Amino acid sequence: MAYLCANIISGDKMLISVIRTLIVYVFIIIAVRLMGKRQISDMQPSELVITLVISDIAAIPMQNTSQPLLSGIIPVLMLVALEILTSILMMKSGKFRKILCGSPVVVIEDGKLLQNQMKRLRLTIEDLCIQLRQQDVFSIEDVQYCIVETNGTVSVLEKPQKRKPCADDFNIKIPDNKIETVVISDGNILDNSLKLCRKSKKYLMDILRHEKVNEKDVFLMTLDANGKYNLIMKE
Amino acid sequence: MKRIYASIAFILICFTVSGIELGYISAKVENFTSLIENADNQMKKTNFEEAVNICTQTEEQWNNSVSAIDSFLIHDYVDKIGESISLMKTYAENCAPADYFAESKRAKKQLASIKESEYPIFENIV
Repeated sequence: MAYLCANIISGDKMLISVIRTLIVYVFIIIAVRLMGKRQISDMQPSELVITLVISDIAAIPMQNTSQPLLSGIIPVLMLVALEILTSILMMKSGKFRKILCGSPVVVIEDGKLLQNQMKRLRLTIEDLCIQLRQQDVFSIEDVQYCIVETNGTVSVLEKPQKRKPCADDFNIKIPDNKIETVVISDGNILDNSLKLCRKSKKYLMDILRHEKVNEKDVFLMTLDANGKYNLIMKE
Repeated sequence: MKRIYASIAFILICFTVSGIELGYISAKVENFTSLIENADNQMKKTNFEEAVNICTQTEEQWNNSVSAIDSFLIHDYVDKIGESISLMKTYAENCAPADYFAESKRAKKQLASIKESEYPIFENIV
């Protein structure tokens, strides 16, 4: 017992690794949250670089206990700060955004494949077809415009005859069901979702009373602004 | 707007912590280097008892400072300096000046190295 305590006090490496991993994990979660939702969705080149570098730097003090923890935290802090400032600058200045992210490139214009643009992007026809198939387009001839965005994804506008018709094309009026949101998840009421469907908590409780159920027994409940709801109880 | 303030605050924190580290490590290195040189002078005069006292004092100060220094520097480098200081004391106690001066030279070099490696000069950045 004394030997174990002595090891812990003097710094058993495994335990130090565990504690450092916990600290760095919490720190990275906070850092990613601070950088904002942009990080979680499709990334611009600068954002991808930052994400990869942060993960590499954060791993160093986790694996190597002889490195001070600050040698991981300080660089990550700098990167987070620089990323936030860069994203703000990109928002304010179109020129800066163009320098950092580039511009979208049209590779199919009015049904015509622009080969010189594809060469510029080092994009092969096979790569382009893969991207098109992922957009449910299986023939290049169906495409009127195809644009390669700055984050590498492809946006496609099909030729009018190939586009999916919508209610407007048939002159049909479809009732507006508004947005359906999850208002109870695993027994917990989600206040933000209630705001989104413009319903009050009292309205929700009235529904539950009408259905003779307790919110704690609800696994999932969805509700839209028209008052339509779905209820799934816990098993 | 909050994110701008937060990012500026982070950058300031980073520079502040770096500045504090640089100042702290430089001050500590100068202090220990001067203590070691005092001990060297005593050893040169074959005043072994005084040299042992200075080495003991140096070792005590080092043990008191090591946890703070460890939080800034790679632990292996810091441990090596501590070992050198302990060996210096042992050689002084055993009245072995040749071994003492070899270890003292090594300790001073190690201290100089950790100090110089902190400066934001071209060689260190590259």
